Amino acid sequence: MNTIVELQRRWEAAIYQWPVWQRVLFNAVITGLSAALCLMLLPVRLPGMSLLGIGPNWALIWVAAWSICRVPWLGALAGCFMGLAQDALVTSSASPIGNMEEALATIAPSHAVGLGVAGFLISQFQRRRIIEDDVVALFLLIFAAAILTETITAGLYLIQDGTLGSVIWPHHQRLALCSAILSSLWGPAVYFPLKLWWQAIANVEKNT
Amino acid sequence: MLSLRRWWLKNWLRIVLIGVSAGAVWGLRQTQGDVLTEIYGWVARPLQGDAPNQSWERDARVLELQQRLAELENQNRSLRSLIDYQSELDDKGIAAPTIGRSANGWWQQVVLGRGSNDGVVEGAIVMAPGGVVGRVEAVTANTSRVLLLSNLSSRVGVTVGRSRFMGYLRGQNGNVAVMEFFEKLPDVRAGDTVFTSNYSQLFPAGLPVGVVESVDTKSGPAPEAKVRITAPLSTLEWTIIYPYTPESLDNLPLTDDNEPALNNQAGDGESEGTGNVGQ
Repeated sequence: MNTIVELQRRWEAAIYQWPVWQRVLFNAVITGLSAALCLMLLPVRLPGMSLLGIGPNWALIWVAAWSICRVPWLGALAGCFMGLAQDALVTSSASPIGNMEEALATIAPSHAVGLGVAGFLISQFQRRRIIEDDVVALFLLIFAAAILTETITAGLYLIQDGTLGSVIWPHHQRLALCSAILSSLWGPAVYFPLKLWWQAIANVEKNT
Repeated sequence: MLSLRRWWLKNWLRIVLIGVSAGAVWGLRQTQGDVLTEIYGWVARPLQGDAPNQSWERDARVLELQQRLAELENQNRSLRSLIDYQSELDDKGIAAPTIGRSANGWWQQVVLGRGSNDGVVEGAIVMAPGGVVGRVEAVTANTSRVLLLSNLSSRVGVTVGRSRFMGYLRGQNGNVAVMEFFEKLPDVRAGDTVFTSNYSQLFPAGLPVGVVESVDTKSGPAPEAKVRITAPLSTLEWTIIYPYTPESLDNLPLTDDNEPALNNQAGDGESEGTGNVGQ
């Protein structure tokens, strides 16, 4: 633990020397790259990283890592952005050919709603000190957020097509549980490196 | 004015960064995340390996060929009188490895490691040992994204091979889909093979899709059958992509009032569907 603290201290001292523009640029690049990496991990299903063909919700993990140390409106905004980016990876904007009846995807709820709400709530929780800064709290937080986002998506499906209930709910149970377990287990892998970086930046900014 | 200026000086960076993020997300949406998919395909390239030669794939292939043969015999019988009948799919397909699955748990998709550089086009048909898998919906230079038949809320025109009764196949997120018939009393029983119908605009007619597992004639508003999709959708490794451009609307069979049958966007599909049965 001491070595991590020592590393962090040296790292902060190094960042402190940088000109402001370099710090801002690095921060933006690292934030953007980490988000892009999480988006690219979404289609991956490696053994040990998937249950019943469902993988961790990397977008949610990133939003949780971001929101946990920020104000609610920034958490919600990041959640919306991440959700829109995830939409881009899933939905096709190409107009459906053929008639309205035949199509491979007739409804497509956006991820922005679920992730936006999750980002907002996570920052709220952090601000009110409901959670402590430890691994177990992070587990629980991401677990709950994953179930919440999948439930919101299920709700959006049902709003768009009420007849799908018999298919949606069994699928939702399996998906929410698998996604919550995997996301909370893999959460720290994204959360801790990002937290170290953002904390260093915040400390440096406080001192300048 | 001074306070506005002070506020701006304090917050301009944040606003610019939010603007940049919004721009990046907008760009991603406009390009369907092409950049990310392409990088992902590039990273996954060394992991693709060679086409497998496994026994279950051979068995599934034999099953598929048997189904196809039965379908062709049926088709031959009913189409013998037509002189302008021609095959809609090219013989040459593009073999493509699966390099990823859907980017969330709700959509049934796979990402394939072949793209426009290899001749894949949007709307191409994807087959696997066992039958139809889905349809290419987005293409980058080296990857393509396929929407599977099992996708929730998907509807594809299909027909029962033996009796030619038509209906829609509704995806249920799993290997079993539901076929909804147009007719009140369709001639269908467990074990019947289901093919894409010539009513379908997304797929060429006569491709094997699955086998009927059970029939529920009492369900309303139309009778339903559970259809097990023959291709192993959850364990897809290699697929074959066939470029396919749907028939233009002008060539479609016409309904009674001489309107192109599928051009009608009104959404009363059942009456449209029955209008086409038997053509």
